[in-house]
Amino acid sequence: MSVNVLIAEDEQNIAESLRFILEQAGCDVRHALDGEEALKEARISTPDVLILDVMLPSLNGFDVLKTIRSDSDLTDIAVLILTAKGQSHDRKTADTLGADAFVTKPFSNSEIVAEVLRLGAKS
Amino acid sequence: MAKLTPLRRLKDIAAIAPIFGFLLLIPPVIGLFATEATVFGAPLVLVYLFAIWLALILIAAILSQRLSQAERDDPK
Amino acid sequence: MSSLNVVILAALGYAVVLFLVAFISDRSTRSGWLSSPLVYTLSISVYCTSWTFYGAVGSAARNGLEFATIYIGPTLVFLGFYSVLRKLLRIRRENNITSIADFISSRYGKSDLIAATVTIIAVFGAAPYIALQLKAITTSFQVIGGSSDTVGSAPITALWVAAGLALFTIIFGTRSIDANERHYGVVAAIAVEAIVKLVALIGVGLVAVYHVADGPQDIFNRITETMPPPEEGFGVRWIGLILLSGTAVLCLPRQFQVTVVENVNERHLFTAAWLFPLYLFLMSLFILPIAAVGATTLPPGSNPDMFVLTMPLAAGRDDIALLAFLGGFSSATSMVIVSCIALSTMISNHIVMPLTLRRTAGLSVDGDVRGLLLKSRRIAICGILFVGFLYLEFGPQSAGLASIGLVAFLGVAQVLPALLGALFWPRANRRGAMLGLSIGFAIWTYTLLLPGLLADAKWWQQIAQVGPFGIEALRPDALFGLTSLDPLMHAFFWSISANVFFFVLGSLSRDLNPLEQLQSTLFVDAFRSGSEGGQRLVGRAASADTLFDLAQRVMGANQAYGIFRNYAQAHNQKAEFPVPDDAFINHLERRMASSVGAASARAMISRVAGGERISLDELVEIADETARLMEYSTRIEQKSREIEETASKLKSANERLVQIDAQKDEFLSQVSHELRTPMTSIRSFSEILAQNDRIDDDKSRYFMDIIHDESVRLTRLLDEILDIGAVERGDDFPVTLIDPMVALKRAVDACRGLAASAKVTIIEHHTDQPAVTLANQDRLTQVFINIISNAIKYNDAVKPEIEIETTIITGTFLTSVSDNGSGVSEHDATLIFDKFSRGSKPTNEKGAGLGLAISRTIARKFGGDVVLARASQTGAKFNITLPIASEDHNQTNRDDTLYTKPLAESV
Repeated sequence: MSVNVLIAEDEQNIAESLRFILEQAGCDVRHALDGEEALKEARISTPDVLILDVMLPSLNGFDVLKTIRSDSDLTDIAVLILTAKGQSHDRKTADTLGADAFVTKPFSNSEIVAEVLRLGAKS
Repeated sequence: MAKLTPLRRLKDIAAIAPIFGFLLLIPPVIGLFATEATVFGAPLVLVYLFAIWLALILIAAILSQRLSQAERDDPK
Repeated sequence: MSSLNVVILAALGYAVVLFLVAFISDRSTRSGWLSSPLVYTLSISVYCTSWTFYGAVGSAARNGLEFATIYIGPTLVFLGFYSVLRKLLRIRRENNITSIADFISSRYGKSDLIAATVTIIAVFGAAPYIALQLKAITTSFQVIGGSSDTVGSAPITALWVAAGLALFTIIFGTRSIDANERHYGVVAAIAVEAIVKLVALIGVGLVAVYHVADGPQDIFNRITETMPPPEEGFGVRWIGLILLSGTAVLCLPRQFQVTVVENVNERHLFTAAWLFPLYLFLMSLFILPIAAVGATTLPPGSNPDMFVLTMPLAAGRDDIALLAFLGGFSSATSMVIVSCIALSTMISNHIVMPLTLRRTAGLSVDGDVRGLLLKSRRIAICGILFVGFLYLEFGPQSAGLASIGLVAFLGVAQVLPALLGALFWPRANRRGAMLGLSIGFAIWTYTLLLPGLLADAKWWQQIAQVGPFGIEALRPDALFGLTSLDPLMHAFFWSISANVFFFVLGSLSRDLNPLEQLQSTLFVDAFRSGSEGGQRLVGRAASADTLFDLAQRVMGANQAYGIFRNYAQAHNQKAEFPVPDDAFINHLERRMASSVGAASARAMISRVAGGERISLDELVEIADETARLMEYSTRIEQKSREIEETASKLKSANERLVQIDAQKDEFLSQVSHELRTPMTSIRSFSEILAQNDRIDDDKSRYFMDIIHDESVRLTRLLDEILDIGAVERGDDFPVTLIDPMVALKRAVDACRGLAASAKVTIIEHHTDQPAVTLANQDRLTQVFINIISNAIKYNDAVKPEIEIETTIITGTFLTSVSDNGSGVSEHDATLIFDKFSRGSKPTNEKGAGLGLAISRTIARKFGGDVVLARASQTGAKFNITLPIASEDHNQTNRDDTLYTKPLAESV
């Protein structure tokens, strides 16, 4: 069975590369351009894994994560935080809010695919 | 306020001394001695006048000597 | 009977000795005993004139102990030397005072009117007094030389004596005009005369006690016998005479001359304080014995004023009589000499000089001032003596020696209120002094001087009896009905009371002007302010040459040159003449004051250097102790405030550093984020391409395009980051005067291609006024390009156009760039000037969001700004302002340091 992945990322090019490598790995991939859209999409498709960029327009990644963890319908989604900032306090915030994985940009394709598959298998 | 220095005290004395001398040498004080009485044959008031006068000179000498000393000790 | 020849020979011989003493002393100035406290004290004894020498015995024979009051007053004044005399000496030294008139006028705003008034009072008081001395000499000549026929006529003798005295005074008294150069010869001669006076009187006294009488006991008996009853004589007159004599020893011009002006060393006063009273004591010791012996042995009707001579003559002691004659001669001559010096100085400085200055008003001081002064002093000396001679010949003959002396005492006593006010009352001012002096002087003249002078005139007798115009209340000897006092005390009471009353009233009636205030502080606080004291408050300017020209006319070329040279050396100035700053001009004025008096010196300096400009604010600072203390505490407060300020500045600097550090972290984090984003795409797609051989060509070409675009974006980003650093440091763009229109035209041209491809129309309205601004051409062009290209890129209108307009508004060159797009949202309006911000509108453009931040930073470096003038939905409008260049280039140095803009919101 394939892993359902939702990508929340405002940078078109990055989202496109992620979609390509994840589909190659056999995942079912959806894409949202900002935070609110990501939440809406999550409620509709209940993905196994959410790849969540922190710097999102309208609602940032951490706010999205907070909402997901407090919503019983969504709380089971595995969340992978993707950030370009990569500072230690970001990682700490992600942990506290209940992120399942943390990957900094630029990432290695194989690493992020492995991480997504690991999270997908768990759920 | 600062303690009274020797100079300060002497200054005050030097300022008061002439007034004190003046009062001794004018009526009514001098009037007390203007009588028929004599001292060794000299009229009392004459002796009184010259004695006070000499005393004032002595005071002036002592004051000036002390003030001069105090000024040296108390360089302002 | 000593023969006339012996007397004349003795007198001439004595005169020759005095000339020699004076001559030698003048040659050996400052050496040894001449500047000793003993000589100083002896010179003060010029107080004892022939009036004392002959007249005291006369007074004792008539009024008993009353003569002693004349010596007790000075004794008390010297006993209190530390409060009054010492201050006088200090003030004289620091202000180079030349006379009592100079002292008073200097204190009251250097007024020449006051100086002249005091001079006139002094001259009026002195003329009869000098006549008295001449009379004493001629009378004593007649007495000791036999009958008047054998001596020759009295007027001839008096004239000869006057001529001799004039000669001596001119030779030794007018060699220099500088008060700082003491009259050593005169002082020495006077000291010698003082000793002769004392020795002679004691000699006569000893003859009286031991030769004529049988020792002290007999003397006491004779005194008791001849003296008026002791109960009499200790009343108002007794007190009044003590006060009057105390006043005289301070205010008589000749006393001021020897005690204050001729003083070499302030410390000499410590000796004089007791030695001078002792001298007076010794002088008085034998007065009563001589009077008693004279009264009991000489035939009735003998003149008691001549007992000093007639008593030893009658006793057959011609030698002592000759000594007594020389003593009387000494008393008279020393008084005349010193009086003439003092008065001639006053007349030349305070009457002749101001008149000369007034006559040459408007012009610079010209001619030989020094020569004029010396000449006027010599003429004044002859004049004073001649007036004395005339007074002796044609004045009233009735008055006794003592009464003439007391008239003079009360005359100069009119100066006392002004003098004491000068020393101790800060509020005393010129109006008060002038009123007190003139009213006191007028009353003295009316109630005492004129009655004596005009005693024989019929019309005056009329006035004296029924009052002027029949007004009884104005009778000169019973003013307002006061008849209980004798004429002297009557005049004393009214003149001094009125004097003090009007002095106080006048002083309280107005505030001190700045110069008076300054002088008041210098005088009243003489021991507190430093020698240069308040002088620093006076500001004047003149060239050194002009000042030298003036100084050498007053003091002679040599002395003037010395003053200039010494001052320059003392202040380590290399030039021959010192820099003519305020300090030097004040120094020079004070040096000149020692020659011509404060008022004339000030008037002369003012001619060449302008009047003093005394700052009232500064004056208040030194006005009195309270003000000074307040200023001191204000300074301390200010200090602690400064420390607090520094501390808080340090604190805020520290906070700012912390803030800047945080901003730096934030900036680096932003930069890192902005760089990582394109890098992520590049890395990811290049991995995809590297790891997948089976991707079709179209796809791989698409991926490679993305990699290329992101690389370009990365490069541009790096450029912008470097650029904003450079702009904020401002290190690579020198500013020059440029025409902003040129930069704008270049920018518009550069944007035309972009506008054409985006189909945007550019409309321009330009001012035709020329303008220049201090800026950098290339950077300014960059700003315009940025704003214009933004307007093109973000214009989403159907028929897009942008409008560029230039105007000049009050020193500002204003460029507006507006578009007809959908404007800037309220949210974006607050963010667009922050670094790394981009509008939320979708766009193809992928800049780093640094453009507006850079533009604004550049514009601010030029003293201008870039602002969003309109953010409405009908289009955005940006205003670029630039200051139009003037002489003031400082504006351009606005110091915008790195990271000044908070970056927090720039998400």
